[in-house]
Amino acid sequence: MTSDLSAAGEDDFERQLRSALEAKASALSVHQEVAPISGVTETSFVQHNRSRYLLACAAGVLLVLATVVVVGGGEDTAAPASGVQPAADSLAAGSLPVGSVAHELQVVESQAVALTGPSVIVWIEQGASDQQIRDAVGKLSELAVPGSFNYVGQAEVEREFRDYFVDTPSVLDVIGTDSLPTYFVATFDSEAQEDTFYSEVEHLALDLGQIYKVSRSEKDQVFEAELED
Amino acid sequence: MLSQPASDPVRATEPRQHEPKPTQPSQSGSDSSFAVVGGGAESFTDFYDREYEGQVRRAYLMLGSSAVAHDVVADAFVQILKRWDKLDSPGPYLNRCVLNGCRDAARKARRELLLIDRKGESALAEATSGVGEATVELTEALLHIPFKQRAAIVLRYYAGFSEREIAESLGCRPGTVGSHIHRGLASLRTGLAQ
Repeated sequence: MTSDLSAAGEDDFERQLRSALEAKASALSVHQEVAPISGVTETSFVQHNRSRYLLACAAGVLLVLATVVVVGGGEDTAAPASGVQPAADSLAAGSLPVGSVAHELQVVESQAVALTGPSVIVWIEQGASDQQIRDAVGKLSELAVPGSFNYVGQAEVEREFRDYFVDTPSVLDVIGTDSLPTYFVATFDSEAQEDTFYSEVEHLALDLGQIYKVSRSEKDQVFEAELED
Repeated sequence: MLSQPASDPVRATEPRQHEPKPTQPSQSGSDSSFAVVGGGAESFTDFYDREYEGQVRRAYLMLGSSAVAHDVVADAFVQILKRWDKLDSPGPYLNRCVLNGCRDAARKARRELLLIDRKGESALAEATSGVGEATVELTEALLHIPFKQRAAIVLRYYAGFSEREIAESLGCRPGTVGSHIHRGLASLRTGLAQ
């Protein structure tokens, strides 16, 4: 059966796929209740959505960084942001102590927050190994505009976070300063190069399962949903 | 500050090809605390009754777990409820919330799968009960491909979304949707051949 499916023609494969999805979905017993929603408290909501709060943090920090990270196209290169340390070389060489601060990767499309050109942020939190981080960030370093690659440490993130979310300290209290992510910021010459990076990262993610990208609208949504509430 | 993604107010009210028909409001749905008017002229209860089942089935296809799918959709509706009076077109927003929840759940599931496999149990047993062999193979393989490819395939082949609608739900360019689907189908075939 397996070999039959994998060797099926395109139309037949798609037909069988539709049938399989419908069959599996139909076999599910859906328990529809409204009451459980009313039982979800603000606290449990926050706890269950901690990762989204972190993403909201990323969006907020990025808004601040957008004022200092120079983003441009063509021959322009991005100057290091104030307070951030160039880290591509040291990371690739293995001298950056990523193990103490970084684990899981998320790639965030930074166009979402009013930057004027293609740029990305690699968001690191708990989960991935040093080697995984180096592999992914090495690709970012390879494709980004020279000089645009910067490391934003946890302390810097916390400072920016406190400055930006001056009226919402409770958010920081909820997630805890230990949960604040670390970032790598980089800029690309063009959208095509940015797309190349994403395709390279996606390929890497197939092996690692630890790299994710978050689109503009996703980040917009999270930013609105989590911070305005 | 940041605007919500553009959305089609018509889309949220259109039944999908393979998705369940709208259900009658439940008794619990008559709870006045949820009879909030927003999202256009529709009440939250009506919106919930109309969307819940289809969203759970979609999430289930993406995650392979009934319990997690129910939780993800419940969380998404909590978000919707909190913003209900601000939403003109809650359908696309709900799609995004559910997909975000599924993505997060899928990340956790990948780690948990390793533990379950060590016990010699099938992590996919729940996902494969009560259906035919071809369905089992295809849907098992689906759970092993990257999430965006998986989501694009479910939205296309189960929910019947257009490329534009899938792009809006996934937060990517419409041109990228075709790539996700093409690569997803290829990954499925690869998985089935192994």
